[in-house]
Amino acid sequence: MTEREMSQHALTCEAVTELAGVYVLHALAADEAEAVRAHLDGCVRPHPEFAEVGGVVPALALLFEPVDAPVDLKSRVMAAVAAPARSASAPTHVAFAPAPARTQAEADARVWEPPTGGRPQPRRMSALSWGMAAMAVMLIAVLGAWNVVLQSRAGEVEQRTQMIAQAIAASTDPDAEVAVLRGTGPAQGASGFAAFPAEGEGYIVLVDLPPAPAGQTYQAWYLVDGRASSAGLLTVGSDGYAVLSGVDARQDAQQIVLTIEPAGGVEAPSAAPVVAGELSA
Amino acid sequence: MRRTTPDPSGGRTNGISEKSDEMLIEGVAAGEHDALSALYDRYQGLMYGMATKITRDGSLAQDVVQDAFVGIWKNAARYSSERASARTWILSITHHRAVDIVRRRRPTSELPEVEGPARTPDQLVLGDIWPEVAERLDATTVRGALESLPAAQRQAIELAYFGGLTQQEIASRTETPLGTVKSRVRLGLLQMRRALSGGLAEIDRPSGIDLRPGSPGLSGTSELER
Repeated sequence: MTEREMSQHALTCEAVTELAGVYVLHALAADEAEAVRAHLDGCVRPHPEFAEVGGVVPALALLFEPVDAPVDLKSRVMAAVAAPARSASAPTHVAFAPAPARTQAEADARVWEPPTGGRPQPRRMSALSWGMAAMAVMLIAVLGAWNVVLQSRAGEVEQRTQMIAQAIAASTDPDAEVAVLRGTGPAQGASGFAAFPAEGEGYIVLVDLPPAPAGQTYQAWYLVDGRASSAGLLTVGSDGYAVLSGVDARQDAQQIVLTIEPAGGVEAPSAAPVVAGELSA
Repeated sequence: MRRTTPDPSGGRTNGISEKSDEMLIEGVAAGEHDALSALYDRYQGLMYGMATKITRDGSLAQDVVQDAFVGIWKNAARYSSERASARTWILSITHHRAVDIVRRRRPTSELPEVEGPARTPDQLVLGDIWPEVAERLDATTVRGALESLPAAQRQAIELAYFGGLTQQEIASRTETPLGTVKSRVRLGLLQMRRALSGGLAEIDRPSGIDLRPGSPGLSGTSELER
């Protein structure tokens, strides 16, 4: 009778002793290992044989040669651990309807309002918020696909991976402000996040972002009480990724949005946002 | 508009590189991503090397390392330095994940538990002195102890630990009765223990630690991550 069959019954001390070696080497099936644990849980006799043979296992581990993992694995790991600890919630509402600017002064003072007519309200939430969860889940999904797409472009992968890893690290700062970004209209399907740690540079990361039309570019904006100020220009890679680093930290910003503007950018937004997300901190 | 000075670490890594592994695990238990990042930097090579050797597949090895770190993240609060060194704990988790993934690939194998039971029998949480021992052991010494075993014992241990095979699979592969496989593995490990204890005693046995067979010196367990 095998231990698997015996797992339906109580193991004897002698049987458990004989299994000590295969147990400590993880060479038992799950139910067999559980039968051993069940015995040890209830057995009044000591079983020092597990310590005796188990002590050799760390020595055996010395025989594995260290091998550097691929550089992008750390990003995957950090994204994976960020995901399950947080609870998900609804995505950010991104509908805006800016009126055309008639003058530069009017554009400078533009206040975007949601369709309901109310001003976007700042949402101050814990860093352990739905925004973080959504960002992490999104990252897990996109990083894997991205690795496949760019396998032959190692340099670009490494550079982008490092930037995204830094962006993820920034987003995990307990005092960071984070926005989950979603595309709409011509950027429908795009997603990403913006992260501004308490200290250091901020990041804006977008995936599945279509290329800007010829002669135009994506421009990121902070919204402070509806007023826009430029955060920088984003160039979309052929893989649909756009990463903007070195972004200023704006503690008073409530939203991050992207518009499509003439190449080189503009002083004030001239079009409706195609990507938007509310900052939470 | 304020322009910030680029700093990939955001200034959050100050001093973290000086922290012990055990302190980093405490940080992980408190939900500190920086602590996990530092552990990753320290152990990724060892973990990926172990995973690559067992899975023989770079992609699967990455999954192993990722799963292991998720396990570390989830279970860090249950880690006790009295049970095992951080190194032993981390590598035990990695090994467990690696053999789990290898076995999932075999169509005739049962799916093992991913997380394992939450409880740990007291019999399996005996003390571990690996930090002291590790300073006096190296791969050459361990390899010598392994190669000193009778061929059948060495093969059984290698198939189990480095190949990720179950005892049943070892029995089938070597056309050996199951009871013989169990005995070979247990007796082989005991003989390795004796060989390593002797070698350590010749080098410089740490005072107060008895490494003779039957002593509590070279203790440890495979349930350290539970």
